[in-house]
Amino acid sequence: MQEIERSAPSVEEAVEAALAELGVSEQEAVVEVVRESRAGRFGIGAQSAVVRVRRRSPAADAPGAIEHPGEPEGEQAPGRGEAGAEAAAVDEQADIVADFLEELVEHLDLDADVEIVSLEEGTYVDIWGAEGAAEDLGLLIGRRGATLDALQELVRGVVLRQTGERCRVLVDVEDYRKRRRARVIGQARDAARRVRQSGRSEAMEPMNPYERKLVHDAVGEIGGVETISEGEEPNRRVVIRPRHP
Amino acid sequence: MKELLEFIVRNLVDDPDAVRVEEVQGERGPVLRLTVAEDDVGKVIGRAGRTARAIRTVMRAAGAHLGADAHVEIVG
Repeated sequence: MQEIERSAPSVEEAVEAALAELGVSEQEAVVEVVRESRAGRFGIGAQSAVVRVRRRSPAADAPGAIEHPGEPEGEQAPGRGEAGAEAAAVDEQADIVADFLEELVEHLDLDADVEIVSLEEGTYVDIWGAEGAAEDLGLLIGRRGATLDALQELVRGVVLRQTGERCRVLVDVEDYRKRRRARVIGQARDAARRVRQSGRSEAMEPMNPYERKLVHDAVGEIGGVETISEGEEPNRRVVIRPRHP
Repeated sequence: MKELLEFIVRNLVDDPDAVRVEEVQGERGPVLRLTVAEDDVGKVIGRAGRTARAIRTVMRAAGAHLGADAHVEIVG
């Protein structure tokens, strides 16, 4: 069983690097956080995150509900009757997130509604402009989704403090993230097919960690190609390259 | 803006009562000076400064919308 260890400034980046190296999606992998990263104060005492990742063996490990909280689990591996508890935990997180965002939009004097939506790919908390409201909620999305990413980061902190768990809820504003998700996956698949045909690597546009993971996962389902992330935030991008056996 | 910052930060820390936001005049305009309990400083800054950056990004968007710009300063 191949297991690799990677370190990076954050757990997400370390996981991403390890998954890309193994050529598996997060669903197909078992991730163990060896050490959390620490920001340090004034840049002193900062430490990088370390993770250990191995390919999930089909029999030994039950599929993780982490990335697909809304998905029916089907047959469960013995001794892991946690699907119900997992779903309840995600519901609780969604309530916490919705409460936080409702109060936030109130502070912003925005006439907006917050709703919880469970989809196959995950549970979203959506912010929608109220019917007939004049304001544009674009201010909550920002340039290339920067403000939306910031809201996601705040929500991550809120959920962590209230539940002690990693946030598994996605924030969205007027379906921006869902539309973007569909587009990113489509572009990744198109690029992967071109790379397989031509044998030449192709770089995707710079993306945030969430979107890069979408690319890794989408390309991971296509044979003959692999992905790697290159560059520094916010210009970090996924490169799709031919896989040599 | 002050209330918004207080609201956000109180939801991130273990000791919400220790959250203080002071409005001061900086050299380049208004500054919101944030103080939290010592043990909560890391939570407000976050991994590699991510949470602090997220707070500033949201405050900037809010400022543009509400017409009240303010720089966020984290004192500790």
